[in-house]
Amino acid sequence: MQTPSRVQTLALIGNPNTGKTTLFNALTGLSQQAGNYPGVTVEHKVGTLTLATGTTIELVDLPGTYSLAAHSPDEMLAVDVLLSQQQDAPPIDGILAIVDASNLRRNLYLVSQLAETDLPMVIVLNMTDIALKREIIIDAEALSQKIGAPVVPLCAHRREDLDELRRALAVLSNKDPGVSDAPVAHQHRVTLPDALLQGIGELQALATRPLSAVEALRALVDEDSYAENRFLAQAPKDAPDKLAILRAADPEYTLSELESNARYTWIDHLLTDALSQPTQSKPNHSDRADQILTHRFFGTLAFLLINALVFQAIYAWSGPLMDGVDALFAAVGSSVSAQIPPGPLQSLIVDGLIAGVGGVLIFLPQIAILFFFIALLEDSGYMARAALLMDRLLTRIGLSGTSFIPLLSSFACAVPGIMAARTIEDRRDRIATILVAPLMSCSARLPVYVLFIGAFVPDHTFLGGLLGLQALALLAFYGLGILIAIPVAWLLKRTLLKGDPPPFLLELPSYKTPDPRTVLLRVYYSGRAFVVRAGSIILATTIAMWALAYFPRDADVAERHAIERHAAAPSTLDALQKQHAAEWVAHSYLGQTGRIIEPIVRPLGWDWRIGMAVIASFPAREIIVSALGTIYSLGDGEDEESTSLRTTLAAATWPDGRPIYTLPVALSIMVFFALCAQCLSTLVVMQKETGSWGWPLLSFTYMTILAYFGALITYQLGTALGF
Amino acid sequence: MELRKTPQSATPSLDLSQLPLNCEAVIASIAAAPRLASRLRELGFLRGQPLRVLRAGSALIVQIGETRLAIRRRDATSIRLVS
Repeated sequence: MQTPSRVQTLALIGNPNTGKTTLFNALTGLSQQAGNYPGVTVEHKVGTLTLATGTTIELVDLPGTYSLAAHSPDEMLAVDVLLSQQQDAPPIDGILAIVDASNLRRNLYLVSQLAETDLPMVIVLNMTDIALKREIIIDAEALSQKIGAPVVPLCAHRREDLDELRRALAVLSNKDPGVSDAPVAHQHRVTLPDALLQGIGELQALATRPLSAVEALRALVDEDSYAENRFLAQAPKDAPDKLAILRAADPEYTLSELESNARYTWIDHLLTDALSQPTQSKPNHSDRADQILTHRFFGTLAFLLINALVFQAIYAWSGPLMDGVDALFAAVGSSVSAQIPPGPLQSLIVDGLIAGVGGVLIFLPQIAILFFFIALLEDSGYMARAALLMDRLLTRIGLSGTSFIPLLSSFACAVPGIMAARTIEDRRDRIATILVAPLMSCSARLPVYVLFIGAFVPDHTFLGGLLGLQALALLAFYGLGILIAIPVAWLLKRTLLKGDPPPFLLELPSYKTPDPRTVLLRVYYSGRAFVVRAGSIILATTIAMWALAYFPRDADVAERHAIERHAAAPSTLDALQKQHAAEWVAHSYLGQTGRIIEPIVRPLGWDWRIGMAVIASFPAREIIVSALGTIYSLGDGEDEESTSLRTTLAAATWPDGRPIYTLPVALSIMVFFALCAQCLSTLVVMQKETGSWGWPLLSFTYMTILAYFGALITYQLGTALGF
Repeated sequence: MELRKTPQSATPSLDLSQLPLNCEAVIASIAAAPRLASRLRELGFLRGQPLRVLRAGSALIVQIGETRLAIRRRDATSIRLVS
């Protein structure tokens, strides 16, 4: 008999910090279809892996979890996908469980629960190199015999081990239909105490829909959990009373204690023959590093130094790359101007696409460097230490160290940051974190800062060139968002989201050398997301901006211009052409609207061009760069020599000849961008994650008000001080 | 009391937040709220398990088995040690 040739789908699941993502990357490489968002495992990612036989398997990467007792939305997602209860995820045919060989005992807790899902399972024993260094010796064969599932030892970064794993997966998927679906046999599973078995049976009888043993056990044991609430929602009215009676079955222990005791008894029994390790572990390099990196003073100092280094790198390393990309776009622009006759098409390509979208794309090097460092810090195990250091500060404003990773991810992009908040158990903390996440300076603000800082902040260096004033200015703008987030979070946690700080438990994984493949894939996927963004939302808005700034082209105005050009002396022709171009832009729909809104933005030191560019960038921040590029390129009239936007801005003047972009104006624009919620995707994802439009609306309102007044104060103060 | 370095500091009831740095002690009971308690047990905080504190402060670093965890001082008070 042949089973229908459906693609097998396996779930990759394991504790956090077991090298799960590294393994996933190694197995599936560039075939991953993650959400469009860069970031840690916040969505279930699906990748394809090809076996030696040529058959392909779909692999679903699930968020790391210590147990199937889900406390956070993140863990609930892992459980739902695993039990094929997540609607948009494929049904799961088998489990690829990954365990940390250097921490086998704790990792087997989850495995003991996975064995109860009635799904076939292959276990990967990862980090065998670290285990060996600590003199931990594991008999994989004995372990496999006792667990009743294949155990494959491996280091995810060694390719030959992967072939072994692929063979094991082939066996799992290619056996006879009757055998391939064989889950872990009952004699291998944990013997649960009668109080639990009886409870599972009664809950299954009570439920109005088929309830698996795993689901029933969770609803029974985990008090006030997703599993319990879900069960009660579909159970008779007297179910809560019955549940309470079942939970009080044992006079001495809670059901949760009975479960964990039974599982650890099973684990310790397994490990008696399969594991040998030194009774006292020697201090290792992680211990020594932690002496410094978690130290209250030296640890904080190291944290600040690491951050300063990242910003310096973003500035110093990307310079030559950016200049190269910039020159390339200028050259392309000139050659297009030479090939296509003047008119709307030439203008759309040169002023809209090249000056606009191209102006955004040149920031790709910075984005890549930022993500490179984030991936490096994450994969090395340092992030957990940073979260620990920050817990002290976060507790003071009513949040906890668990908010650190979502907030830090928001420095890359608020969208994955907000999704990463799923790891926060407490609902109020989660929402407060989501609401302040957009204040963290995301990578979309980077182009804005780099443009204005590069043009208007002097290029002084200190400490023998080690630290530059421009990098410090950049750091200051990143700091501004954090500074504002503090009172906002504090206020939220005291008013709308009142509640005690929830418990904080955070594993500190051993430090390890970051896996180059994982780091580079992260850079690749985030770089791709940036380019896709430039090619979609930014492109669309830029074309709309260009059209608004180009049309209407009245025939009588064109005629008058032609007559004036004809009459002009050759020496004044250039100036005249410039004047005409400026006239067209001022005359356009954009220019007309701009003059209406100018009174609102004048107190911030902005002219109508900046005002319109800022309004256009509400869907996505980077649009301001493309919008200014388009407006000035159109209004310049010099098609042959595309100069960089930076130079153009510095040369822009008011009608009376004063420069528009003074330092206070540049600062006022940057302050506005630091504080404003100009990102449609963020607001949409906020609605999805909180389940209401109220929170994104609140976030948008408070941030826009803060941005306007922040910019106002900056400009007025800067001008008053005489800058 | 199973304090190895400073047995003289033994008090009848000691909780994790009071355990001196780098001394080993054994868990007697966990009196935390159900969620925290079950998460702690999943991570290996079971009666009879030895543990050590590696860093003091508002958040402690605790070594239990091969697992190293950060836990707030306030939450640590719910973990009673053998006396």
